[in-house]
Formats: sequence, C-alpha cells, structure tokens
Amino acid sequence: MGQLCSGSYRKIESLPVDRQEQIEALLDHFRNPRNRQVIDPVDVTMPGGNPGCGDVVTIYFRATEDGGRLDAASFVGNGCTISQAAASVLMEMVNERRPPLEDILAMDYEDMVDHLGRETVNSRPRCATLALGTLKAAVRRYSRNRLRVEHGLPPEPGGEDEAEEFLV
Amino acid sequence: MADYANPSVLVSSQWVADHAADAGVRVLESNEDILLYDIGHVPGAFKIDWQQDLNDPVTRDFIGPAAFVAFAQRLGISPTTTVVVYGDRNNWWATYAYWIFKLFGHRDVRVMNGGRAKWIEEGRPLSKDVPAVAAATYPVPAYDGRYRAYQDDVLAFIGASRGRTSATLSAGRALVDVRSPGEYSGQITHMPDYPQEGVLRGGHVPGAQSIPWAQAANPDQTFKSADDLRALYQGKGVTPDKDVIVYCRIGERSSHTWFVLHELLGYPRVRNYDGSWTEWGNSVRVPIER
Repeated sequence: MGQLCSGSYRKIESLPVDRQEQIEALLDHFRNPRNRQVIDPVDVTMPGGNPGCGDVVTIYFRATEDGGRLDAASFVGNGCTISQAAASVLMEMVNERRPPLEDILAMDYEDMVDHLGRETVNSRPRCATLALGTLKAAVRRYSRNRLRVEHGLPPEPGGEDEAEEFLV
Repeated sequence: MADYANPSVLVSSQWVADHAADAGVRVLESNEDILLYDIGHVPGAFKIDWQQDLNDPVTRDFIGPAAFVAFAQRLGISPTTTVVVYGDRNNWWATYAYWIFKLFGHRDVRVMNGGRAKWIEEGRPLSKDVPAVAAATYPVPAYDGRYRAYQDDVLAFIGASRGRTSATLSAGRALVDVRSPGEYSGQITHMPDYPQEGVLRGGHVPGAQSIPWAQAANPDQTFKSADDLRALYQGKGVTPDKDVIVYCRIGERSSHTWFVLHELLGYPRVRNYDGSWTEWGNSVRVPIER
C-alpha cells in the first residue's frame, strides 16, 4: 500500500494545503473524535505512547473471521491535539476501508504525516504517527497470537490490564 | 503569594493583560501540545517550540550559548527583557523553558500563574496574531550549569559507582523522583512494541523520594501556596538545608519541581538531572531500586 489509502478520506475531501485549514481539520477531529470508544468483541488491546509525560493511545482491534482483514478498530487516549486527532483520522480511515492486515503493516509513516498536513505536524512526527504505530503493533500481536493458537500455544499475555494502567 | 521566597517570579494573568505589550516585556507560550498557540494565545505572546527552539538537533543536549543568542534575538529579547513564560499542563513546559533561560543566566524570568488554562477560564481574549518583533541584541552569555546535574553527578550524589548495586544517600542530600508512582516502582517502563520510547529497566534511583510533580499544582493549574508546598516536600524530608537533585523521565516534569523548590521556596541548592530516567534506566551497571 504505497499510499496511505487509495480511496479519498471522506471528511477531508482533498488534502488541505493551507496550514490554517489543516489545523482546523485536526481540531475538528480532536474535539469530535471518530471511533473513540471500546469495541466489543475485541481481539487485541494495544497501548502505545509515553505514560506519565506524553501522549498515549490505546488501539482496540478486531480482525475478520478468517484473520485476513481489519474488521473494526477504535481508540481511546490522552494527549496533544496532533496525537489524538491523528488517531481519530486513522480510525475513521481504516474502519471505512477495512484493509487487509498486510496493508496496515505496509502503511507508510511519511504518508500519514502528509495526510494530516505536513506543514502542521512536521514538528511532531511521533505524535502524528503514534496511532499508526500502535495499530501496527496490534496487528502484529494479533498475527502472532493467531499463529500461537493454531499451534496449540496460549496467546501472549497482556492487553487490557496494561491499557488500564497506562490510561492514568 | 507573599509567602513565597521569590514572589516576583510569579505574575498573575491580570499583570500579563496589563503588561504584555510593554517594550521591556516578552510573553512566551511554551506548550506540550504544539498546536495550542496557533489555535489561540495570549495577545502579544510569542511561541516557543520547545523541541525545535531549545534542543540541539544532533546531540542529546540543549542549545548552546550561540544558538541561545539567535533564539533570544529572534524574539526581540535582550538581557534586560522581562521574559514571562506560560503554557498548558500546569505550566509544565513553561517551567522547562524558564529553567533553560536560567541556565544562560537571564536575569528576569517569570511564570504566568495558572498558565493557559486560567487565562481561558477567566474568559480573557485569545489572539491568532503573531506579533511584530523589534530586533534586539543579546551578548553571548556564559553558560551557568549550576542548576543542572549529569549522570556522574548523580552517581557521586548517591555514593555509588558504575557496577555497584547499592547506594547510600547521605544525610545532607535529597533526591526527588517526580514521576508517577507506577514509573517510580518500575511497573511502567514502556508501552509494549514501542521500545524506542521507553527504557530497558524500571524503578528509581536509590534513595529517591517519590513526590509526583503535579502535586505542586492546584486544580486550576496555579501553584499551591507556599505553606502547602513546604508541607509537601518537607514532609518527605526534602528540606532547604539539603543539596537537592530532581529528576523525571526526560527532565521536563522535574523542571516544574525545580521551579517550585528553587524559585518559589528559595531552596539554595537544587539541580535538575535532565538525563533522568530515559538515561538512568537505559544505562549499563548503574544501581536501581524498586
């Protein structure tokens, strides 16, 4: 998946080129986050970020029955406008497209920065890509656990308990 | 406010409203959330991007004297300027900027008590305008490291050396860990699968007291009263007669505590160990306590 997503992102019809427009769009996502919830059932709960002194995003992830695509994803989190808005942008995108898992892993961090508005977020690339990195981590854990279960091993521990601890 | 050792380092929002446009005053907004200034700021304030303006881009360090001069002159700040910093999150990143100004010996730096939150809560106007700047001259300052501690300083402070698993903090010294209890105990090190952001070992520097930084602030993001602050720190044995080092994860939360102890309460010897836990928890053969 060379581009972040080949379909247009619905709420931003085209990439805003004006920095003020980019800020307004991010602010909208920050104030009206999409998919900011806990989905149920959930396959993986993956916390990400810096607890204590930085942004945190927890991704809730569910795959389709056959394990090939994202079925649903959501987030909760605390932090700066960029990190939380980026999570909302990403969640809206992946829930709309429900991409194959390998496409999620191939999503490019630079494309994410461009999609949010490079001029606005380039001073904080880690904030802009926190949700994407955490989603990828969720996909990797899902894939590992699926393999483990297929081979008769228990899934990796962790998930909900970690998330609660980190959401202080 | 009259009970603080240096009450003039705090200014009220009303003072800022009255003086932000004065020729000898520069109001600077320093936030963790980098978009907040653009969304709206105190009229007349300039933006500090703490990461880009005050950090060295290559070495893990702050800017040096020459870069500080460029930064100050760009903002129209001269050595006689009254610099007023404020920001989000209990003025946390504002005090980080304050501490940097003090490393370069800037004489008059103040904090707007309550930060952005109080300004907004009081219904004061916000502006999106970036003010025009009159050029200023700042002679290259001497770097004054007396408020800064390095890892070797901390090892010596706790009577340890690399390879020793234990340490002893002597009577005239206090070490303050201002992180959350989960970080102090070692429960929280990093998010799984995000190792770049975390540390390899959890816990705290042996002998450190746990006094989370935000306990120094009121719910309205102002600093607590001098009496409350004294009780908070002295209750844990952090007293003005001691040599004190404070730390957190990267030195930003602990700069807030440095401001409280050194500036507000007038403790004479306080240093911020900015390497903090991202350095200590990743260092080979330094002692760790849980």
